[in-house]
This record gives sequence, C-alpha cells and structure tokens, in this order.
Amino acid sequence: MFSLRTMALVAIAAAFVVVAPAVGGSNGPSAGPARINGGDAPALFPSLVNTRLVRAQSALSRATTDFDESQPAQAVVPMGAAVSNLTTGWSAAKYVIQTTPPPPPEDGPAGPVYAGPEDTAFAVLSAQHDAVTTAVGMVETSNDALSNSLLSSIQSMQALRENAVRYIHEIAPPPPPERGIQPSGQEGGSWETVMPGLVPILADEIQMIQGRQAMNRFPPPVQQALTNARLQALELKDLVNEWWPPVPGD
Amino acid sequence: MRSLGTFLSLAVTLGLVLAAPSASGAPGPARSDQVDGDAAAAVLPSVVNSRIVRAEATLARAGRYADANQRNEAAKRITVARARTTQAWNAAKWLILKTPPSLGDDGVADGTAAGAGIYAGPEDTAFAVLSLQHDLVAGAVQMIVQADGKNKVLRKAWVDAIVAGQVKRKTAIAFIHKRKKPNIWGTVMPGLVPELTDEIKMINGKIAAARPKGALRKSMLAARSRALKARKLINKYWPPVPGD
Repeated sequence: MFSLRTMALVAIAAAFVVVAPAVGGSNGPSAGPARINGGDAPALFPSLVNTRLVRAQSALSRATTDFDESQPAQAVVPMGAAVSNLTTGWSAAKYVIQTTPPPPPEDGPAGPVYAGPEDTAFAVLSAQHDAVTTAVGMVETSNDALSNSLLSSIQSMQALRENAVRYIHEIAPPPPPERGIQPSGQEGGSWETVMPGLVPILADEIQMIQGRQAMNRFPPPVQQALTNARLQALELKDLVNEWWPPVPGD
Repeated sequence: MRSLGTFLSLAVTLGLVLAAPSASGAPGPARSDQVDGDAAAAVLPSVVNSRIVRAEATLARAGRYADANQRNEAAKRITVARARTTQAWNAAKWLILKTPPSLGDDGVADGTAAGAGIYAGPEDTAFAVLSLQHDLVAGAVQMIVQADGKNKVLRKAWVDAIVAGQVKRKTAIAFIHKRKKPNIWGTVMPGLVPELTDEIKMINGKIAAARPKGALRKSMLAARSRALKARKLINKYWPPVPGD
C-alpha cells in the first residue's frame, strides 16, 4: 500500500524520531543507533486511523521539503493535505472509540497486537501536535499564501485537538473508587493513563512557539497568531491537568 | 553520527506502521524507537528538533543530487543545510539559557530533562546539535571532488559549510564551557571526542583519496586542524574519567 519511499519520508517527517543522543553514562555515538525494543513488539494502530496518520506525516514531510527547496508556494497543498488527513484521522479515531468492544478477559489468538482506542486517539493528538510544530517551524515565510495556510493550519489543528480532548472527557468514565486506573480498551493504557501524556507535548508546543517568538521578529499578524496559539495551548494544558491530574508520586 | 540512514532503516524495520506510543501503559508522544531495550529514549524539544530533522533531510537530498552527478544542485542543498544547522544551534542556545539544568533522580546531572520525562534536557539537545554540525561537515567533505575544485561556486559551498559547522561548534563549545557550574555537561560532552576523531579520519581519507590541490587542499588541511583543536579543547575542558 505504502511505498518504501513514502515511509522513508515518514521517518524523517517533521519532528518525531530524532532521539536524544546521550542519556546517562553512555554518550554520543557509542550509544548506538536507535532501535526497537527487544521485548514486546509495539502495538499497531488500526488501519482506519493509521493510514491517515501515515499520509499526514508524509504530507508534512513534503511541505517542509518544498519549503527548504525554496518553493514555498508548493508547500501549501501538502500542508492542507496534512490538515485534512488529521481531521479525517480524528473522525476515524472517534469511530474506533465508539465501536471497539472491551477486550476479552483471556488472551486472544496469536497475531499482531492492535492498539486500543485510547492509544489510537492519543496518536492522533500527537500527530496534531506535530502538524502545529511543523507549521510553526515555517512561519517565517514571506510567501503570503503559505503564511495564511500555516496560520490557519495551526488554528484548525489546535481547535480540533481541543474538541477531541473535550469529547474524550465526555466519554471517559470517572475512575472507580478502588482503582485509579480504568480497564483498558485493548492493548495499552486507559484514558487515565494516556491523557496526562498530552501535558509534556503541550509544554513542548508552548516552548517552541515561545522560542520562535523570542528568536525571530515576525510581522504583527503572525506574531499575534502565534501568541494566540500559545495561549490556546496553555489553556488546553490547564484543562488536561484539571481533568486528568497527574498521579502523585509519578 | 545519527544519519538519515538510521531513520530510513528504522522505517523499513517498522514495516511501514506507526507504533502505538504507550502499549506498556506509559503515556507519551508517538515514538517508534527505543534505546537500550528498556529505557525509552527522550525526544528532542520541537524548537530544536524541527531544525535538526530538516537539516538532516536536506543533507540527504544533497547526497542524492551528488550521486546523480548534479553537483550544483547538491551545493545549493548544502547551503540550506548550513542555514538550518545555524538555526538549530540558536534554538539550542535559547533553550540552554531558558531551561534549568537537568538533574537525575540522584541529584546528579544526567543530561535528560528534569521531570519532563519524555523530552530531552538542554544538555542532550545541545549535543544533538553538535552532532548535526559534525554531520554537516562530514556531508560537505564527502561531496568534495578534485575535478570540481576549480569551480568557485562549488568550492565555496563546500568550504563555507565545513567552516560554518566547525566555527559554530567551536563557539558552542566555548558557550557550553562557560555554563560549567554545576558541571553538568561532563557526562555529555566527552561524547563529542569520537565524532571529532571520525571527522578527522574522514578529512584525512578524503585528502588521500581525492588528492585536492591548491586552495581546496589548503581549506581541507585547515578543516582538519580545526577538528583537531576542537578535540583537544573537549579533552581539556571535560577530560575522560580514568577507568572509563
């Protein structure tokens, strides 16, 4: 379905897989290249959502390539495609949330393990963050069409994400009194364990916007749009913290 | 060096599928790779990461053009990669100045972000940019062909990229050295020594293989000398721990 080239682009797409080089004692190149955990294989996302995520990431990669190739006008179409795929991706994730039955009590048949609706929805939220940061990374453009496209992408992705968070809050059952954690949908976490993961992502987004505003001088409309985006991310972070507060001791 | 190849092979290994971020229950952004089997690798902050990814992607495109014998096109990409590398360092510098130094669980600096968990701290982030500077230098050196040595445009693109990468790195090392209190960088910075050794080896190899002449040879010898000095500086500022 996806060509190797497409996935290569996905791998280098806007922001996701450059990993900190040196943690703890093992420094630099000696730490070796990143690799998949030798233990359990990571769960796959349901294809209904995954196809959209892959296409969105690929589109984001095309947009940055066009931008870096000094063809900013050409970046408008892939940027729009990314937003469209992520919008559809969230609709698909919503469908997965509404239709996925609870997991069977015992282990199911052997085969690939698919992520539950919580992790799937979270992947869409992460991809929305990626779209925002990719757009913020290019806002210095002097091309009006691209500038408008980027600012509207940021706005629509943030609005979509806020709606998604509100929807999840509506459907997520309150935690049972004995256990702080909800039973999982399938493989992976529950809303209680997954949603707090959005906080560092939002903090990263806020930091990126702050950084760009501090390091660059943008025209007033762009500056204003970035300030709005930062405030919106801040509000959402507060909301997530309020609805899914971090577990003490974590 | 974290070359593009790592990511390409990773994508292939993954079988074209984005993996669930928190199959084990730990929340976090979509990450498809982990280091050392157990501990999840930290993701670089987007403000720097977006620049690094774009610089690496541009370097890869430059390599593809060079392989297709379109050296002028390759030179243009090298210039773009140079600009992205500079922006990455500026962002990392902003992050260092703004973010409090990282401390591990035991209160000892470990380079990862304090409390943030999934995002790398300023030390590891800065190191990633230093590695990018190395990649830029290596990318430019590997494109040098003696036959084009007299082409001023090409020569300027190669040499400017090498000089920019090395000079910015020297400035970065000096900047980092000034933040030595607390000596938090001691666990991260020695990791630059093998990269510099690799760079020196690459320049030596290129001088031997391409036999550059005149101004090009002079530039390459100067590049080697800068890499040697940088390595000496790192060893002086952050000497290797005996027994390591």
